[in-house]
Amino acid sequence: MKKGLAKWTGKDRVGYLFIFPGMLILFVFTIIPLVVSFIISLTNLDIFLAWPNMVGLENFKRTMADERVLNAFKNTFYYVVLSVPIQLVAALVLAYWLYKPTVFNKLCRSVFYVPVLCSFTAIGILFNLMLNSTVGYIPFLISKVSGEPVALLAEEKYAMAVIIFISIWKAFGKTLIILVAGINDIPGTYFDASEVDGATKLQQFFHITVPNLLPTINFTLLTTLIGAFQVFDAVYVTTGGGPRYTTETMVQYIYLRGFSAPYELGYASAMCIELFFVIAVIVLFFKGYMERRIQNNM
Amino acid sequence: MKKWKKFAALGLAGIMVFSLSACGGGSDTQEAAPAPAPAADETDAADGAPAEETDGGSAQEAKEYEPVTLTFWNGFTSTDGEVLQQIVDDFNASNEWNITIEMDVMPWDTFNEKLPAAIAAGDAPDFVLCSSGYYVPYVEAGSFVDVSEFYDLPGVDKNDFDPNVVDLLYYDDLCVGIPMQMVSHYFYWDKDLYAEAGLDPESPPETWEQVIEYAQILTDKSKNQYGFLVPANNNVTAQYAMYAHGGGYMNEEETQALFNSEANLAAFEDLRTLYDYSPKDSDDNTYISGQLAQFINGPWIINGLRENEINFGVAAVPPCEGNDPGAAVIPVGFSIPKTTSEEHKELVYKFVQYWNTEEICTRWTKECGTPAYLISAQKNFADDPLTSALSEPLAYGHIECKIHGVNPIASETLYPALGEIFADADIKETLDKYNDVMQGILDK
Amino acid sequence: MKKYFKPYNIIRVLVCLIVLFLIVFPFLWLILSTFKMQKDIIKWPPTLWPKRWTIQNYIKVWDRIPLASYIKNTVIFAGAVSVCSALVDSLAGYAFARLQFKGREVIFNIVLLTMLIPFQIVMIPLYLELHNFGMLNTYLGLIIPRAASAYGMFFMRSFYMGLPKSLEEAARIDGMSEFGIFTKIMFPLCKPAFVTFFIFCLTSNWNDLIYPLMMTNSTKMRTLSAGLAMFVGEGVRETGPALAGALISIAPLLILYCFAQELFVEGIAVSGMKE
Repeated sequence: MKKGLAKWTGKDRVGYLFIFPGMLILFVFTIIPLVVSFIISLTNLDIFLAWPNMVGLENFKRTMADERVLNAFKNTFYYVVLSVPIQLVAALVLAYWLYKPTVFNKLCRSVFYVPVLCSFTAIGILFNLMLNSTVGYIPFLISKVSGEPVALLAEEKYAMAVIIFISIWKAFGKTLIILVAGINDIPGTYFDASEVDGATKLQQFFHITVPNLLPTINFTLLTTLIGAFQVFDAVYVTTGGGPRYTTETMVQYIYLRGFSAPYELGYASAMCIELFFVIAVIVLFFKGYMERRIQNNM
Repeated sequence: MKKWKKFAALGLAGIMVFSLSACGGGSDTQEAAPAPAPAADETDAADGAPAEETDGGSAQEAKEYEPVTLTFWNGFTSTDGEVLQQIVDDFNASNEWNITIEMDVMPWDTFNEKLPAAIAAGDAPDFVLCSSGYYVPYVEAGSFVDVSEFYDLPGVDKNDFDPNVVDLLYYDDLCVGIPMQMVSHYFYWDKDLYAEAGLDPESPPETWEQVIEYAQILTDKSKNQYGFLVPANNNVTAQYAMYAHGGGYMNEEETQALFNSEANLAAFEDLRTLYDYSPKDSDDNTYISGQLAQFINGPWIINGLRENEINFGVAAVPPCEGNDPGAAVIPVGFSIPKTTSEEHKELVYKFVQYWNTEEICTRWTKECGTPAYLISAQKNFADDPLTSALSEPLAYGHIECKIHGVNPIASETLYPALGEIFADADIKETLDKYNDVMQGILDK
Repeated sequence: MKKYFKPYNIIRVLVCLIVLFLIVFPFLWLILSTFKMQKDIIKWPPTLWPKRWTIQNYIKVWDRIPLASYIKNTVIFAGAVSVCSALVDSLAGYAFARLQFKGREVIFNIVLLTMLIPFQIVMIPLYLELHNFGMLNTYLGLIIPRAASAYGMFFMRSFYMGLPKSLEEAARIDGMSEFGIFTKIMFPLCKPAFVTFFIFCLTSNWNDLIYPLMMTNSTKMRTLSAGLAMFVGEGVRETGPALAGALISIAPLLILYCFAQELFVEGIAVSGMKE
């Protein structure tokens, strides 16, 4: 049996050759720093990189007792559970409505993608301006309706919702584009045939579009999920975690601990590792589930 | 092919380990290689090594100076940064030691992220600016060298510095910086809004109680106009409320938390009252909006107020009836990382000396609006009430939480306390709770 | 014609117009603000239309930051990263999709997992690594760490899995080398995905703030996003110039995006993005 020498056959070698450049770069510049972070999480290193002590799992134990960690996880979950489905559903529905190459459709798609092209710094400055209760247009409009301008980002019950809105506003154009491409790939004949059979648009959507789109949906679901768990920019440029920690997400808190006094890089890395495992479990779960669905569909 | 990858990986790991060990034993961490300070080798100017080693840049006679580049990092973005760049450019053009200063500006956040790593890697700039809010971790890590020898240099007039000012940059016996800028916080009022509300625009409140009284008169929610601003995410206003009553965070030695003192209790009662006359959110835009009649802020807001054509007045923050005024002062100093070479250090002193002259100090005050701290410069503003008002608190101000750093203390105690109090929690209980938290930090 | 007035179409157009408005309005505010004086931007009640038009903000941007140098750096950095990444990730993505080799799924899962760590935590180890290699403050040092990306590999893999197997089977039977199959058949088919990913990559690196700021030590090497950060100071915010800077920064991307539109969305449609 050649099985033992399977690794060294030409076929394998080519595969490795193809992935070599990419994996090399990923390994040196992403995986190694990542491993170093793992190691740092076991120390009490601070940003001054003075010779740290190994403290083993003490950092992790500390996170269990830290209320703000629990709060940050809760906020992050809240963010993920709301923003990911809303973004995907909105993008999916709009993609279904806008996939044909008409002028109106192309215009809409282009405009929807423009927020993706902006930097978050600029978006932060813009939205802070528009939401500021003393000079902002949104509170102005609100005051016309309800009499008093509401400081949306300073109210505990609204702040996270606003951040979710801003995130979706900025990112859904990209998801839309990818889904439109996926829909355009479905052979038109499927739709024509079903129309002959008298299917409604709704039926077409659920029985033709979605099943054929599953692979694309899988891709966007996973990437959006991963991004949502790591939300940072949207929070950092608007509320910085407030009011009263209601918008403090995991990465925001990690950043605070690691990069403002007393710069506890070890502790921050430990929290990062915990976040890593949480995301890993959830992502691998969804990946497995989706890929099984896709297999069944084939 | 897998074999290749393994070898490549091993090889790379090997190279890294090799370079770490080769760069001298006593490596601080597994990553940092503390090579001897490469003295600004990222730049392209010819490094003046030969000339320095032989005669030293501090020679007084006019010699042929090799061109030298000094790297300088700071966080002065925006308009102040522009003025700073101009002064640096002037120095580069006019100095007689052939020094060219390359200034790198980045937001303070990034500065504090990069500098420690850069120092550890031996990559740090020749000198930096640092403000008292950020000094503490650097002092604890021993990142900056003692610069007290500056005051003994020929041509430096120690008496021109207000002694309080020099002292502010001493941490125990370590003179960690030479003054570059002093700021404090002041009481601002909108003269037009005063006039509209029937108050005399030329007489600001003389006591803290009056501030509150006026705030109520000046608030008109139907016009989105507010009499005061109590930010929930900024420590300045709350601190001044405490100072007005004679309270504060802790004792001077920073061993005993005094957060729940009687004085503070009264101060937080005031803050809760004032919160009703305040917008619920605030950022830099709020202060210059023209909708705010009174507020406490630093001198940096003046340019924005001028540009927005707000008719404003400035005074020291008044204390309660019968109390002494208190103020927080934030010095920014020139500091030198421990990795800077002796030769470059001497040359850095040249620039610092250039900066601390009457001419430059006056210019900085004029163009940036921060108070003058050199006695000779202060004289130039004797007949400018606005600028003189800015210098007032420098004589009695103190650095808040000098040893522990006010930012970590505030974020662990003040901000959550404010949040809870504004959500109508019992003030005494809240202060007690956070007093314990603060004591915990002080005891560590 | 009757088709256009069916209720389905009306709802569809209405909703799209609402979303269009939600996107356009803030941008309109942004664009108009860049032509307003500071006191026109910061006031109550706020107004959309400028009371007096001014180009002061743009002049300030031009004076304050070395725009030409920053644009050059950003183009080199983002452009090179995008080209490299698109190429390298195509290779890897194709391999993960269509080539068989031992440990393929495991390695791919590892690649996926590298996307799970936020940049803030790895930036210091990365900084030290680049310092050890002597690559700080160089173009190479900025480009190489980003020359491959996990997202790119995932994206390309998804794309290649959608291509019909018959193509490569036929080529293999004809005796073509794997590399030949890739360069002559597969890669040309993937031009639209290549362009799409190129634009995604360009956009995200163009706007990246922390990474270039951390890995460079001098203003000579700074990018546009760093220039933007110059207008926000401690306690001071120059809104007008900052927004003007933002607009200038986005302009090249917008232009490129318009040109690439053709290849963009319709193009991917050729073979789709199946898993």
